[in-house]
Amino acid sequence: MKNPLTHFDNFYYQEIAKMTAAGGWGINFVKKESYIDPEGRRILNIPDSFVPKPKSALDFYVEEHHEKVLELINSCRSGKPFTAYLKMLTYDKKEFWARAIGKPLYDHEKNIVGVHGVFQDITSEKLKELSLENSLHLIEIQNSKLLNFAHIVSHNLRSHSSNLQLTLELMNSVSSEEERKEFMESLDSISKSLNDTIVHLNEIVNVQSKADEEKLPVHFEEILQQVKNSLNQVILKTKTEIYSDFSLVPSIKYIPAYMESIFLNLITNSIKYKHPDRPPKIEISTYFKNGSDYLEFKDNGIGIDLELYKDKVFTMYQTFHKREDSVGIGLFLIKNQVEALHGKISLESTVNKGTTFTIQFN
Amino acid sequence: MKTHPQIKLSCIIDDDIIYVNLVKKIIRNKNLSEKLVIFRNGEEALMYFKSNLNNFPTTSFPEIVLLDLNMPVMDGWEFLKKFRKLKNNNDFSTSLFVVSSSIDPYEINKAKSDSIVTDYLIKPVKMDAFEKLFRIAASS
Repeated sequence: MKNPLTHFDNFYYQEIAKMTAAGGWGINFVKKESYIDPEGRRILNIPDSFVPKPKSALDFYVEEHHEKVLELINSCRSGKPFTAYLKMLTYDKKEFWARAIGKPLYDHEKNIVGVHGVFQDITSEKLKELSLENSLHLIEIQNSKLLNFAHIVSHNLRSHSSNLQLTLELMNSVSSEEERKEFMESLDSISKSLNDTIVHLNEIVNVQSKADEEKLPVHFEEILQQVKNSLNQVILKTKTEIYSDFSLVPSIKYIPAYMESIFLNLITNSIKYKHPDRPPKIEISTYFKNGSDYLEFKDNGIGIDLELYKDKVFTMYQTFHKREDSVGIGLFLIKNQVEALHGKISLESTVNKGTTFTIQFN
Repeated sequence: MKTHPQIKLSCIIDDDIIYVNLVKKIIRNKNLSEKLVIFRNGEEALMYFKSNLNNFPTTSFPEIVLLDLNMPVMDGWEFLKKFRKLKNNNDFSTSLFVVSSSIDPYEINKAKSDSIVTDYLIKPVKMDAFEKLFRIAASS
């Protein structure tokens, strides 16, 4: 009786090949021949009429892997077998992931005359692996954001609790009614700032939960009018001029509350940090570049020294100018909002000339 | 009975007005320093130090500095950098304590390993701890 496993065309061989989605292949460089077995033909969707040639072998791999494939085949020709994960192409140009094994092909005199091996369609496993990697990456980002937030919470609450503790400690030894009253006032302002902090922290938390809300068509002109209305008093008082051109990208799909917050914070920022010698002028425009929508805010304000402060502009409670109303929350907030929707915000600035904020949506 | 202060001039650099007022009271109540100068950010403090150095030694120099890290305009880190230069080029002895709400180990280590920083204190700082700081500064 013949050993069933040594014959290619036998039942067991064919069933194993089907079950594991593994196809056989081979190239003989001396005879200038190549072959692909029936399961290989099935995986690659090759029509019966197609005769594989050594030259056409590369057509079954995506272009970015061509170099790698040639390297593997060449080192195999010098006697080194390989196992590799490659992106392949079917006859009708559909991509799939394959695990390929290759070994040298010997003739009767033990000379290497070619390469042969097996390839297995592992697309579903590979896709799972990639999506797992993706989730892992996402979790890492979320984790570092959470840790960062925990630091912010800890720092901000600690400064209030520390003042509270000191005040109470000092109150133990008050000697006059007047002094007691002073401490009561200090308790009052601590409670107020504690409350402010909690409001700010809540806003930040809301950014994340709101990011899952449905995106709606947002018209830039409408948002600008809304924000201008709510800032009407301060715009008149400061003689602020706002020019806008949204003709290139009139609207995008976005979370309306975020867009309003972006306009409100950037316009307020420009007015707050206006140059003392001239009324604020703000130019707002949209454009489309390399597959992304952009929104740009340009002002003629006092600007900011980016060499000194580049890393700190968008940091919470970071302020750069001696102003009583600098809070350091607005830019931190809109950075979080833009990033929650996978966008980016950046700025350019020249001291005494002005600042330009650029937002790239998705 | 209050002890006679050994420190003539002390300096606080911090933008938290409530905190500064409280420390001011402690210093006054415990008679820790004869005089006190207060700055709301690193830049203001640096300007004071520079102009004071020009008059050196006629003006007295703060013997103790309590420095916050998180401040507008010029933060504590930037101040430390500039202060070190000033100290390298001039002869004065000042005990500098970083007093911050940050519990970030990176910041704590960075401050503590700085040769011009005497110590790092995490807010809240208790009253006795303040007294101790002034004792350390007075004896150095």
